[in-house]
Amino acid sequence: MKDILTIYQQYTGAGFLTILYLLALIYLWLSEKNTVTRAIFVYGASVIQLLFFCPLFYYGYQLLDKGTYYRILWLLPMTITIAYVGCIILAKYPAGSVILGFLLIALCGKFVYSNQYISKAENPYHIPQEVVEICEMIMPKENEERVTGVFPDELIHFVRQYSSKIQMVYGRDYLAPDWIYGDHPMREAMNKEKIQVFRLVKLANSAKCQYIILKGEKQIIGDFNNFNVEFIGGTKHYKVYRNKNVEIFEK
Amino acid sequence: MVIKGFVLLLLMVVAPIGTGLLINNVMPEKQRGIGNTYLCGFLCLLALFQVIAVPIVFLDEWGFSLIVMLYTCLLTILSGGGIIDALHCFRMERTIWKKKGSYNWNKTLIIQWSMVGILILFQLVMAVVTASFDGDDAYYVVNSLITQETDTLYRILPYTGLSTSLDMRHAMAVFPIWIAYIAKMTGIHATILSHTVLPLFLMSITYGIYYQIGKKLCMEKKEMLPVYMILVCGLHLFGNTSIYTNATFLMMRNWQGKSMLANVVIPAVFLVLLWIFEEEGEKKKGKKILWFLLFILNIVAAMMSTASVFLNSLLIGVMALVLTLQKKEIKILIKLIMCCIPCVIYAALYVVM
Repeated sequence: MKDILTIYQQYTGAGFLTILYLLALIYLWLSEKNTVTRAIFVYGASVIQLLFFCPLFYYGYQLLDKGTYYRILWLLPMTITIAYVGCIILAKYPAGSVILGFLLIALCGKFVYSNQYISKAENPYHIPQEVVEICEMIMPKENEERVTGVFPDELIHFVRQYSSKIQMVYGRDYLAPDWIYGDHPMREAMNKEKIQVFRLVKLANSAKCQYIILKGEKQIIGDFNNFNVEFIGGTKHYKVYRNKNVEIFEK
Repeated sequence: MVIKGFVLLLLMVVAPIGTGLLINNVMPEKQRGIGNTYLCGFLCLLALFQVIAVPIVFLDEWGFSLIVMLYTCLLTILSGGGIIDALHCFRMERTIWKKKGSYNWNKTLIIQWSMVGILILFQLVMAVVTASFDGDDAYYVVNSLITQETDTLYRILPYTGLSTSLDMRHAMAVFPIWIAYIAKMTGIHATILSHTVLPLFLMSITYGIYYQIGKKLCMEKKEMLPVYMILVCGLHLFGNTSIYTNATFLMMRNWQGKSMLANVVIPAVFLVLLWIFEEEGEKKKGKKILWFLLFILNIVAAMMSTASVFLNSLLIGVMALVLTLQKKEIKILIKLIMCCIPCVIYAALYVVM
């Protein structure tokens, strides 16, 4: 039961919209006359809520799919119920009261565009422009096979959204600590405070990795030139190196 | 650019309306309208894609071209058939859509509907000019892009680009392949399509469904409808109380199957249930098509994510029980359970394979 409550709290999050929904549901329980609306939005929704809080149901769901139990709450018609009850109540007041209803929702919720993960789009791909610039630098030519690169963690999600012709030594699956793999030796080397050139190039060679992309501010111990790795360009925050020990094959 | 836009309009507007026109003819008269025609056509085309694509995903790892060919042929036949039928109706001077009832426009209604328009437009503009980060894009969007660029189906690991075996969990939910199809046909990069273009359509469809639900709920007092829509917009704009809410999914990742489930399929199930049961005891013609639509919605649910199969069945199952008990008609339970057959088949496939 504790797990279920945690999931419910996580879903509810920072706002009071679920409370607003419960109040709207109670209102419908007491006042809705239309039998179909009552069956679907009152009885049906209540049964789904009861199921959600039922421990047996929770354990059954875990057998099917783990980590998505919160999606049961999607089956509750929260938006429809709140909006419907809202418009019934507001109909009793002057037309301008709709602003108050809107404000109440705003107070109970959280503005989506204030989310830390929403930012101004830098290009139509909606990925950081620096990723586009780096990818353009290392993209294989028409007659060349796909290339492999190693990237700092913060770029990993975006590189292959730009082009599937660029492969990565490790991907997003290594960023989530609770996923299966544990850490990748190359990621370990990339994330060290001071980059050991000798070790990084050795790992890049064994991973058949043609490009190394490093944060500009990273401290580097050793000289890439001594290991047949050439600096080919950079962006505002990143430096791009070509590991010439690994050939780029022609098609 | 112009050609890309033209093909996009053909696929996302003309084809759904054309296909919807076929259904429109057999819909109950009350439900005949351009919005419903579009919605029904869009859902039918998604279901058609799922039916075509899943077997090919299993049987042929290089089968994307085959999917493109088959789906395009069927889409053309269906939408072309619908449009020809509609033209025939025009010639016979038969009405396709029901005549609009009188709507007493006044200053308040004009202001309220303008507010609805502005709020929706604001969200559409924001969908284009802002970028939202979601880690799952590294899987779903990349999968669409891989399919568009390499013609392979689920045999390349999106995260790294290395080869992989078929991942059953994702392979049956072919929504990313549908995006790849639109990308291939239009020539628009799958990432641009997902992040910048599709949200315009998918968010509009979501609001379209909420509008239709509102129309049913506010049937007796049409003046309430704009207020209902303003509140729906508010609930989406301010629904980001956690990363799990359907509003968060709509505003930040509507190009992913999960969001499609939460914001298109589930609301559409409520809408179709309202249509089916709207007038008690009324044995109207055209009800069969509504049951068929519910059946279709279960196929579309399976297209969105593996969990959708269970969630949609659960929703319909609960509603079946409640409605059966309320109306004391066992037929309702049987019919609603029969609508879940696609979900049962996909679930069985998942377990067996």
